Amino acid sequence: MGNGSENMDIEQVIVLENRPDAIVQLTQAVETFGDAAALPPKLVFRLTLALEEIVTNVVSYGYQPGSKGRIEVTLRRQGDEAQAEVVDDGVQFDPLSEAPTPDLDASVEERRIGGLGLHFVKTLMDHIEYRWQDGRNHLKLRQRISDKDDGHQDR
Amino acid sequence: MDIKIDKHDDHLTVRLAGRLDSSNAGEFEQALLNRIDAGELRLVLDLSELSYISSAGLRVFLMAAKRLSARQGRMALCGLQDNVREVFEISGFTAILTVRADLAEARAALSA
Repeated sequence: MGNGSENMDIEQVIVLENRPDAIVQLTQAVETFGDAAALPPKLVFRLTLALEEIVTNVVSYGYQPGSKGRIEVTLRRQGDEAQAEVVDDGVQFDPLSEAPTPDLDASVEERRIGGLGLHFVKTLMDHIEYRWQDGRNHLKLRQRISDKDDGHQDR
Repeated sequence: MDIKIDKHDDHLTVRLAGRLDSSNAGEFEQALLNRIDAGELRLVLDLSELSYISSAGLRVFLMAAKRLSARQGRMALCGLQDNVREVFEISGFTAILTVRADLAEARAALSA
């Protein structure tokens, strides 16, 4: 990664509805943003995964059946940091305090299906902030862009 | 995502290619669980062409493993790309599922 890209600031806003096809729209937009912002492939993978989990959760549980929701995702590169913010008008939900941690040591038989998505978000992102403001959930993710994430395979 | 299923004498090979996420995991779930319910109890899943997976996709692997375990079946995964492997690792799935490097090792694990 050259020195020039470290000074690049770029921002993109994606507006989604609470429909199942929101995920396809979202993941394509993150990939496109990753290219435009020259983000390392590994970081794009992690960011896509974290955002898919968050938005899937909002679409699945954030709204009453039949009610229309608006989910706004802002992607930003600021210097050597990638940031993403998800703002939704669904029910109030703080994934940092309300999502249970899955039992990672349980056997196949005992392991509960589900609960992994927000665990990924917490594990993969450097920094997560939640706030409830003006009747909306705001979830902000930050990830440092490092040279070791440039996609070269170790093996 | 593409799903390709090859029937061998004593097992099925399921090859996944592309992205497995919450938009298409239902399709994969149906394809895989239908085969298990139809009596295919020995499965090799080749993930070498799978570039992305989220919790919606992992859920299908766990459901299949549970169903196979209840019927004394076996399943082995192979060919995980680095990013996909990382997702399996932070889920704890590499510890509870049979994960091998390549097809030959995965097939061997079915008979072990």
